[in-house]
Amino acid sequence: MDSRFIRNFCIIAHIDHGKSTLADRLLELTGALSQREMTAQVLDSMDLEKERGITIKAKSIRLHYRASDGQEYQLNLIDTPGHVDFSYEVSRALSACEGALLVVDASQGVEAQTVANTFLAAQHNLTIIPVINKIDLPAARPDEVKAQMESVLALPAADALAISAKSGLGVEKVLAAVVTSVPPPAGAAEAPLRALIFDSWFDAYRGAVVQVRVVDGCLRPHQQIRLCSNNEVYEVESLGALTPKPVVLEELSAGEVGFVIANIKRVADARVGDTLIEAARPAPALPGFEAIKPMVFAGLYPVQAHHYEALRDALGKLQLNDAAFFYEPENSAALGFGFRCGFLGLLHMEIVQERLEREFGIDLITTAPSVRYRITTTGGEVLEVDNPTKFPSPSQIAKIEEPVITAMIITGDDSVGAILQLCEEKRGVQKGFEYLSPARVMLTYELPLNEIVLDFYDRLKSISRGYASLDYHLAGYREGDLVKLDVLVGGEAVDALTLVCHRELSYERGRELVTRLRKLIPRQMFEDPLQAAIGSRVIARETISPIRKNVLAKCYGGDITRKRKLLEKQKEGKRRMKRVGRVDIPQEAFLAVLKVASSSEE
Amino acid sequence: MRPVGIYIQVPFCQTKCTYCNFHTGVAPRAAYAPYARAVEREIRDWRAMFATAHLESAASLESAFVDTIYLGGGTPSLFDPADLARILEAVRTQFACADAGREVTLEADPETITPEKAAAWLAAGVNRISLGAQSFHDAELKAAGRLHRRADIFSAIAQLRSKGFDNITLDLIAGLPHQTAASWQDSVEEALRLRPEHISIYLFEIDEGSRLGRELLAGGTRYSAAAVPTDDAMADSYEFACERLSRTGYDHYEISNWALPGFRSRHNLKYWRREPYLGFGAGAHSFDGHWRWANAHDPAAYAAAIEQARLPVEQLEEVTPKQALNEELFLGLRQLEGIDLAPIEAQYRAQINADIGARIEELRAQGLVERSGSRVRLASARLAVSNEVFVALLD
Ligand SMILES: Nc1nc2c(ncn2[C@@H]2O[C@H](COP(=O)(O)OP(=O)(O)OP(=O)(O)O)[C@@H](O)[C@H]2O)c(=O)[nH]1
Ligand code: SF4
Ligand SMILES: [Mg+2]
Repeated sequence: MDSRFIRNFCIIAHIDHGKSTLADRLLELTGALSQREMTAQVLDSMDLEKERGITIKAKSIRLHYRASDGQEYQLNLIDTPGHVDFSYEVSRALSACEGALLVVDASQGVEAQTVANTFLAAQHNLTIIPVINKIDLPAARPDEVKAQMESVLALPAADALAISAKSGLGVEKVLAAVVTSVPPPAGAAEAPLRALIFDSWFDAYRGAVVQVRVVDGCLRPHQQIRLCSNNEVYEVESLGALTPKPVVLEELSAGEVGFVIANIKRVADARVGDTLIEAARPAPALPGFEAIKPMVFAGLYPVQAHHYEALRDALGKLQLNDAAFFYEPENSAALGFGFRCGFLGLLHMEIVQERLEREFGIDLITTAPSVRYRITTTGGEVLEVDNPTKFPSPSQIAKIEEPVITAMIITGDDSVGAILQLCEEKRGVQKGFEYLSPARVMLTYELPLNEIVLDFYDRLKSISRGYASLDYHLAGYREGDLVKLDVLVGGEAVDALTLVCHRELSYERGRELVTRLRKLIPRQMFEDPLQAAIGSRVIARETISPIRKNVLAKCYGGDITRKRKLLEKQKEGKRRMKRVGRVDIPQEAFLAVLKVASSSEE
Repeated sequence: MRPVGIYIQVPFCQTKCTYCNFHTGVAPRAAYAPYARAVEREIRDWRAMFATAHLESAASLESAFVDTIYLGGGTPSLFDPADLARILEAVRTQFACADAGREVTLEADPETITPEKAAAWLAAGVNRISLGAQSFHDAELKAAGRLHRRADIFSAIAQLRSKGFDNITLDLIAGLPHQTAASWQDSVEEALRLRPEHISIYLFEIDEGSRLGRELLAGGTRYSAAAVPTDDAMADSYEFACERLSRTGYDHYEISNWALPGFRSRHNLKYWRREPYLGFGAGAHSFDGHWRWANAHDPAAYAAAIEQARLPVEQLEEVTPKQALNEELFLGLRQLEGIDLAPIEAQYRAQINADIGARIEELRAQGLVERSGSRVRLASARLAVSNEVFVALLD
């Protein structure tokens, strides 16, 4: 393919601004899918994406477009996710493109991820085409949004395209703009092969499938190729592109995007960011990606111990398609054998958990999420600890540092006061306060990641009535006066409920935690104390009261089946609980820790 | 010949109690007689309808003899006694009936009883009345949506006694909205003063789908959701009654049932002992020792099936050996005399869990059951949490 007629671009935006819907229209306009094959957000193909109405994984699709000059173009489009947990997907997509459609919701304007993603695109030297979407909405304010694009994003926006991805209004102009504004890919087809792997997934029949952007040279079937990272040689079995149906091709040349299958058995070998070169013609590796680091850690345990093996297999399978997710075996005195898992954020954690339960049928207990602390011992040793139960004893700790993030919050000025207060409460340090327009403010804060993990986002949304948006990235470590808070059930510390918090907040947290747990733990056979403690000092106490009544009522006319089902249901409920000592703890209790900080508002 | 119990379901009530979501409805009086005809016909056509159903195990009941009949509901006492008499007559013509010790119970609400009805019931062969007293406190009765009042209970009993009923059972509910410890104790004392031959006490249970149940879930005040006693209060009430009744000569033979010597309910015992019973009428349940089935709950659907000489069965379930074992345990243990594990272990060798002994031992250590040799029974002090035992033994 003559690279002059290739355009590689992605769609970036704040969450929900309409990226996937715009992709739908582009697929339709170019005839990639027939009307009959079309569904809303057709590229959001995972069940979870459909149900939640969000994109989780970026998708790259090849389109054929005949421009007004009669020339046919090959367009490689990548739809990206908007949620902050998946922002690494955006960075990868950007590396495969020369241009980006920056979509902004006409009624909401520039939001936190708009700023963050524009910044990323500019860093990658991409041509940015501003698109104002949802102009069909009564609350659309395209002129105001243009002004914001200019002042906040420093983008010339006078000619920004105003469209409705939903109705299709103005969408042809988007394709025309891609052809005229996005530069064709550079790179020489004759040069030695260099192809960047920017996505990979596992196919049960074909092994690892890698998605590449060919930078130089040419890929063909039966070619001997080499992975720069491990120097292994593979033979290309087949090549192709998703349209979105997979289409087999005879060649992928410089500038093109497509998939490669090359008897690579494990996805772990086909690492995203790696470079594919020709075995016979060495070439320098392309700059890869920064390794994705999990930010949030939690233990995942099977409710029923005999599901351990099944859980391990399921985690392995999930990881094949989710390189961002990390796990290793661990065990807990309370919960038995399970896995320590690392996630990009809470949404990511929720999704993994849901997939495990749904796709693999395993009931799980998730322990309180934690971040990775850096502890300097009195002996001068530096430890990284992502499980609070692994904290050294207080006398051996010289210093605890916790990860901090830089958070960008964009909000209407009426909720600024409440948000400042929230950031204070969460131990934030203000780094910036800027009016984007008379009614919109951008706040920059340095905040402990630990505090974000709890419930920051929910509270931000609730105090701003949904208007505030948040983006963040890891900024480093900061020393903190932190303590480990233990929960004792029946006098026994339940490791899975241990959490780390700031000393000043520990009394309140401890009290809220035991109160919440008492409500979540049903009455038991015996009376037992429920305590929160720092070291050996108990700071809060509640009592689990003994059960007094659990009896079947009148048996109407010999309906025994109904009684039996009732008992079976109770049995099932018990099975889903975890027994600690002589107390049955329901699954939800282990996540109660999460909700602690917000419980005071209920 | 095997004995079998007969259950007749009358799915009509005058009003719907606030806590009840049982398949009963309020229907115009004009609907009573046609319904009674349908039941009569179901009994008369029973064999023919079953012959087409290929339910072999039920065939054994064709030659069974009837030793108990129970007219329940709903409120069967609302019916014209002549209709009830025709139904009973149908049973007698279709089945061999044991004369000696035959028990024929009719459920009656106090306000529906008149001397004439009582006499007619006796004449029709009813020899036991189950009186839905529930409480002797008008505020509680009113809040629960019951139509009778304290005074109606006294006059009902007087009328029944004067006509010659010598086997009366009285129902009480512990934990009705507005019930207090004092009002409950008073209800128990009043019941004892009347000295019925049998007393049933149920802990108040609110069906989630009932008006009160929905109010409890959604919040509201119309049906006194806020006045429902706590679990602790209900348990206290139940325990008070256990204590009081056993000291006045009543034999506590089943979790919810007490009898003066010789007056245990033979019909209800069949349920706990897994003996066969045949149910007639909309929503009636049957068990032949192997299968459980139930008629259509909707009276119209039921009547339509009968009209077309179709079996009105809506649910049919074969009790698996595992389920049968579970039933043996949780039904058998409801009787305070408990169960003998030895024959159960012998019969369910393939199903019984090897750790049953360990489980029972754990329950014993928790004070929930008592064991002597192969006999196991619920600990009398912990009857109010008996489900904990059943659930632990369930497989
Ligand atoms: N009224 C109107 N609604 C739109 C338009 N475009 C998208 N939407 C709606 O906005 C919501 C979000 O659209 P998506 O296309 O899923 O947004 P997205 O940017 O892909 O979202 P993420 O992938 O989760 O970041 C959906 O309910 C769409 O129907 C538009 O032009 N007009
Ligand atoms: S509780 Fe009994 S009397 Fe009341 S509505 Fe239900 S079936 Fe009828
Ligand atoms: Mg999307």
